[in-house]
Amino acid sequence: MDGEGVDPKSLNIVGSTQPEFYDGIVQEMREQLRTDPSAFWTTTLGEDGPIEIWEINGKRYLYNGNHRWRAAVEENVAIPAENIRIVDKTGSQIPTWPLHQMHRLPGKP
Amino acid sequence: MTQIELEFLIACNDSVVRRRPLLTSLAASLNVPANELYYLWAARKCPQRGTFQSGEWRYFFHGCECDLRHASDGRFVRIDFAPHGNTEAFTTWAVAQFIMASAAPWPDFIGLRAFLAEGAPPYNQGSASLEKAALLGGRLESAGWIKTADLELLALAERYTVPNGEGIPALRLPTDLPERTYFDILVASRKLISEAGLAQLSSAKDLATACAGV
Repeated sequence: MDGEGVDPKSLNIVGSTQPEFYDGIVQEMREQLRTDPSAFWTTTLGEDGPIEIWEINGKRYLYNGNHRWRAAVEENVAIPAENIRIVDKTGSQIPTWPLHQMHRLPGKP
Repeated sequence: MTQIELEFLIACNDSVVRRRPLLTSLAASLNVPANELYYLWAARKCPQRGTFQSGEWRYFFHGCECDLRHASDGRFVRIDFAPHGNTEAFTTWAVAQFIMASAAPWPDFIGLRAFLAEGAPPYNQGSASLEKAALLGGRLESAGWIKTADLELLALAERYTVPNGEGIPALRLPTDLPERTYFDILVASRKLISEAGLAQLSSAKDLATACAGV
């Protein structure tokens, strides 16, 4: 695990509130993380806000930042704590997909 | 102000102007008004991706934004939603994506592409340097030409955010706040062109018109 912060795997994410993500975006982010992780986390926090994680009935789902979280997992790098936000959404009826059922689409949108 | 900063301000405005009819068309295809599109996706009440305008354009919702891509010529523009249904916001990265993938009938941003590019052409929406885009955005913000969409909402989120047992920021809004307040917080840091920025754009347009008339 490289860098100070939170191990993305330790967040115990079980799924997401969206079914699909693009491999091309993840690869692009991995490249940016390899080049300058500090700039990546600073810039993406300013541009897209923190990685938003919903806690629904005790389980954690990605709401915003699916590509960033996956890029961090695949690069084995820590996520600065300020780039993450946990939100209590107990009782939410939003649709969710387990990580293993999400579709990794080829290329970019 | 440098020429490249002015060109980036023009591109910020252009990205919003060019996507307006697309946004209206996408919203209509999903049976909502344009200012409801964000909330439709935020509640996950529409498909994540699809096509519109008879398949000419593709859309892909993710996080708090929506990517629009022309099916054949590669043009790309991202909808960055903003609080209260505002559809005029942007992020500097999205503007950089728009610039790098722009093709006729949209403008050719030759100077900006050369500045933003991380490598050699051909370019697509991923060809810009994240740092250079952020640098230009920061300069426009320092000059007062662009502004944060809603500072009060950001302050509200900060007030109700405390570290949890793992040391990770956790947001717990009062339960009497509408769900939309939370969704609005998520996009409160988006950028809008300020009054000063609009005045700058108007001056640039007047100058261009005057030069064309000489």
